[in-house]
Amino acid sequence: MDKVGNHPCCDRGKDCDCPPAAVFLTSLRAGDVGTICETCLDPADAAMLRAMGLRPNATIRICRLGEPTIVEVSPSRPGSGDKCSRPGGCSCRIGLSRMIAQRVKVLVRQATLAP
Amino acid sequence: MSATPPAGGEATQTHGLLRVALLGNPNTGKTTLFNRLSGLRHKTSNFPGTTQEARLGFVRGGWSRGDDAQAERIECVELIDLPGIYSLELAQSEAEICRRVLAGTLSPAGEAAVPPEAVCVVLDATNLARNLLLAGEVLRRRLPTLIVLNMIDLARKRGLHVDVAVLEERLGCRVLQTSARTGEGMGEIMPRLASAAIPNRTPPGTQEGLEAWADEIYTEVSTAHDQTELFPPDARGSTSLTDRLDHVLTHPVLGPIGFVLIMTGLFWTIFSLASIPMDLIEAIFSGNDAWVAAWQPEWLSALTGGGLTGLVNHVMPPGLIRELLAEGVVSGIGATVIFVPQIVILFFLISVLEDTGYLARAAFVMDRVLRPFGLPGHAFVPLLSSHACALPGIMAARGVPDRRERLATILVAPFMSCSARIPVYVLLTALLFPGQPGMQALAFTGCYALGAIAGLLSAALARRTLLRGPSRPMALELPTYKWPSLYTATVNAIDRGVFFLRKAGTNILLVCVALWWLSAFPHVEPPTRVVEMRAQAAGEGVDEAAAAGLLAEADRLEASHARASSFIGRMGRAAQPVFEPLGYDWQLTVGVLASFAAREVFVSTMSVVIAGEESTDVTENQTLLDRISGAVRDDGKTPVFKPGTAWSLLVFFVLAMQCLPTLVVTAREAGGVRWALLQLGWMSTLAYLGALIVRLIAS
Repeated sequence: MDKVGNHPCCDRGKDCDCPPAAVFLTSLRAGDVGTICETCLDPADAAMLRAMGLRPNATIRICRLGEPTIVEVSPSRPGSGDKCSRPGGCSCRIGLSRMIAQRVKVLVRQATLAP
Repeated sequence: MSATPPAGGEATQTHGLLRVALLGNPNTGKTTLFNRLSGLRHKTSNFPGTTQEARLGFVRGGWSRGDDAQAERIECVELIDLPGIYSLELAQSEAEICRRVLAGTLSPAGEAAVPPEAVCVVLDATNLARNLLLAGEVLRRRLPTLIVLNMIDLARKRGLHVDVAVLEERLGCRVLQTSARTGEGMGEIMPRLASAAIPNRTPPGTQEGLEAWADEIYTEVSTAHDQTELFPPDARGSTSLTDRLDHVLTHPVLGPIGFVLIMTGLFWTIFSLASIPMDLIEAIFSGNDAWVAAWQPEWLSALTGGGLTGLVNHVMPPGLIRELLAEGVVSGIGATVIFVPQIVILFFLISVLEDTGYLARAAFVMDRVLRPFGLPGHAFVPLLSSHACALPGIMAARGVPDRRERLATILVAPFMSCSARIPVYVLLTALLFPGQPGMQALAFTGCYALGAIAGLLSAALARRTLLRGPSRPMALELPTYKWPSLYTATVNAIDRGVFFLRKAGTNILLVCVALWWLSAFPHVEPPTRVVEMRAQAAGEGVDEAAAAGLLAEADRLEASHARASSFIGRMGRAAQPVFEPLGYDWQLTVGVLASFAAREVFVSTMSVVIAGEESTDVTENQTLLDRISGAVRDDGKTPVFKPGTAWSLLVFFVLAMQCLPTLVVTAREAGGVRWALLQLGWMSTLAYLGALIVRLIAS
């Protein structure tokens, strides 16, 4: 898995607020569940993703990796459990080009077993 | 808003109009809701100075506004359908339009720029947490607001419940649950809008604060059943079906194959279905259709001569007015209306595909192909549509979200070989490869490939120079797969057709009238030979068949002479030195100039100028093809169509911008005449240079 500190976007002097365990979206596997940590994108694109729901603490499930990467996004619900993070719940699906997916940092919460 | 005095001492005032801005995230069913409310009672225009479409819907009725003591009567609600956005604060043209409309500094063309009297925020009940962010941004603006919780039927199906009373209390405004698809709650929207009040709560001003506010409200108002109820086995199956469908439809290999199959079906449907009304329209206007002639009563056929043109000629006395009406106005209207079936069917099918959720997936598939040329995946449908006709293709470019990418798509769309080029390709490939259908087909395919390559390379050039700027990386919400709403598709299709007729049609008509005038004037006397032939036909001792032949030949010669002597003919002679390097004599120059109005007139112009016979179908008339291929220049021996000239002409027609209606639509869709002039200049230059190079090589 790509560690945050090794990624080019963090070499540009950007502060990395995420814990060391955070990885990039493209490092996950289909079926993995995680929470968004931050995005290493220019402000306009980052704001767009944030408005679409890919914001810190949002829960995501990887539906498909590659081009495009498809994630199912659920809102962060502090202290409310994961009622809404299940597939088909109150979430939405977002397709991301690889260029974006490889710049979104995620903390893995529930990894699928390696094949 | 106009107020009238209370009538009969009642404490009721009448408002002429209540302006309501309709706002929401993409994929919240906002368009379906707008269509449900306004039906066909709406008009489409642009926001001035932008390329963004503005739809205005009108709902008439009687609703009370305010409390009982000072109630006002609302007679009509004007709905302004704003672009779907995720946030008002984004640095996007769509978000800026919404901000300015809410602030009262922008309004649809022809409307007064004042703040709306109410805002209707459409939220997706199945994705409430994210949608609340936009609602919060609107509530901060302190305008009378109604929150519409749409897609409530889908939320229920998923086991989601929203406590509306708590939500109203937390937002400080009225909340209404609706399903625009089923019609649930739709009847309540207008009265609630009329009585909408300024919210009595104000959400936090920072992004972080707003997100926390939305999360808190969402947690408070929403409940989901436990997992067993929420995802029974069949529901889990349908969810994984979405995953599987996404996997297939966006797969690097299967995705493009599926896309090609679906698009092939789409365009096959357009061509198959549109040909019937198009033939009918052509028959109505010009009477050139056998099956229409077959069902038309004999008396009507005799009266109209098989079309409106014939009818005008029949009922009006000869003269300038008759010619203007028959050959300018009626032909111009016919040339406009004939595009409508393609436009309506294309947008109906695109709307159906979009509603199913497929188009968002297809955009990703084509993004891989188009991205190296600076175009997004969204550009594929406009470019593919342009192979039928550039007009709907350019109009379909509205689906491209980024302004620069949208402009690039509009600029290069006419490079795609449209159906109007086909008669020209048929003529020139037949001249180049007589009796070799295989080579003709190869050359035909080459024309299509050349147009597509030139378009993509031009897009790449535009995106690296004039339209330089970062490509917006693809991040698209993938809507849930669902059955499409045929009602919404029908309304959208009619909307596009009417919009085309009202906006582009008037300009096209003017262009056609101008072209008629250039082609018809000045009137000249028939040549001596024509007079002699007619006299010979009228003489004694000439049998009926020979006389008819002489008269027909005289008509052909007179038409050829009139065209050569017309203003456009004179322009052809004047402009011929410009086209001399390409090998075109004055006759070909006339054909090229005339086809700048519309490509399809090239064959008919050639048939008149060269063969002296009005026809557009070279496949049905081998004699015409022989005459054109055997045509000689004024010196009487040099062929007009030498191989180098024919190749040069073919390349010219592939690359040149020869369609005035397209330029009109480009100017309107791109937001300025300068874009149309750029398109004309670039394509014409490229066509000239390409044709010159090909002529030099082929010669």
